[in-house]
Amino acid sequence: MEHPILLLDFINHPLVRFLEKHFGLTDPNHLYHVTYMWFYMLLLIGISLFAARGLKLVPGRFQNFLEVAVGGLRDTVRNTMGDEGMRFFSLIATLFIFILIANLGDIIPGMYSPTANINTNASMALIVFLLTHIVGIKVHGIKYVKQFVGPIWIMAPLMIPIELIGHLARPLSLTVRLFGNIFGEDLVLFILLLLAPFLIPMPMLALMIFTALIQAFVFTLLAMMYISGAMEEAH
Amino acid sequence: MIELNWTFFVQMINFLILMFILERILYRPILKVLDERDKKIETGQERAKDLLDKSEYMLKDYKERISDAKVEALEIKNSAMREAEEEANRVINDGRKKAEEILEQIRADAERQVEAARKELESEVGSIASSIVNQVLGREVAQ
Repeated sequence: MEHPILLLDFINHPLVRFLEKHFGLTDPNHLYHVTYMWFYMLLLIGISLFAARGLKLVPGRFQNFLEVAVGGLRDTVRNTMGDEGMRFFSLIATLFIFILIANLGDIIPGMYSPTANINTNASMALIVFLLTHIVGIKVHGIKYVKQFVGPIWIMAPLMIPIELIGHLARPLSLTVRLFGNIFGEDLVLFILLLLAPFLIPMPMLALMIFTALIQAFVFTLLAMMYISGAMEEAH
Repeated sequence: MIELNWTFFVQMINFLILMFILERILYRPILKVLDERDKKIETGQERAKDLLDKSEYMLKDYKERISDAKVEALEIKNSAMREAEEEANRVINDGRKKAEEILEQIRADAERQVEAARKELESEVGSIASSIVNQVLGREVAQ
């Protein structure tokens, strides 16, 4: 699918040409997910710097908004993972905030969702996947392997492949779910815009806001479940 | 679009950088502020509870003292009334006694005067009687 004109084309085109010429690196998506991820990173960092400039005990309006957001995330992490889960707060919160902002981005004309590219999603899913097993081994040591063996030793030859496939399916499902939703929405919106550009795509835009929220929440919630599942006692 | 390529690693590094920066400049300061505020509210509530307890205690003490003072005032009033009554009784009794004394004196005086008058009259009875008899009979009668 050819993209319409995007805001960051002025960065993208020279960058793509530069990388191709000097390093021989090409990307079928013309690096839009990378440059837009930089854009959203800068946006989030800028907002944070602006907000963190004058944090007070009695918050102003903007600080209050951020406190509600961060406090809500904190409560969600505590409720889902317990107090131990607060160690992973920055990962969970960054996942949610970044995915939400990135998902919402493509509603604005000229913008693009980094989450509509499978590389972005796979990188986040892989971080969650690796962290899950690192935490599991850290908490349980060698006993963590027991989780893959199943309840009965004799069943091990059957259980180990099932569990392995189950665990490997997690990052895959995280990746493809987010990618499918956001990319699919983009595609639907694109086609609707081609068919009837005026007013007709508006319900679709509303649906996209909804899906953006849901997908950010689902990705984050599943990440929390996987990590806390690894911390729990093997059953 | 559905193929993984080298940008996967770029995105992973991007995400990790974003995570570390946001942790430094967003989560840590805001969670600190939230914790600080929770702590402050908690200590404030504790202090408010302490003060409330104290004020309740003070109110109780004050009420006790008021009732004590009331009892004391009543006692003072009662004793003052009792004293006044005694004083009044004493004055009345004194007066009565004095009056009786005076009355007695007057009575005695009167009696004495009556007695004196009677003696005087008794001494004159003979001469008066003879003068009456003389008048009636028209002659001297020997006594």
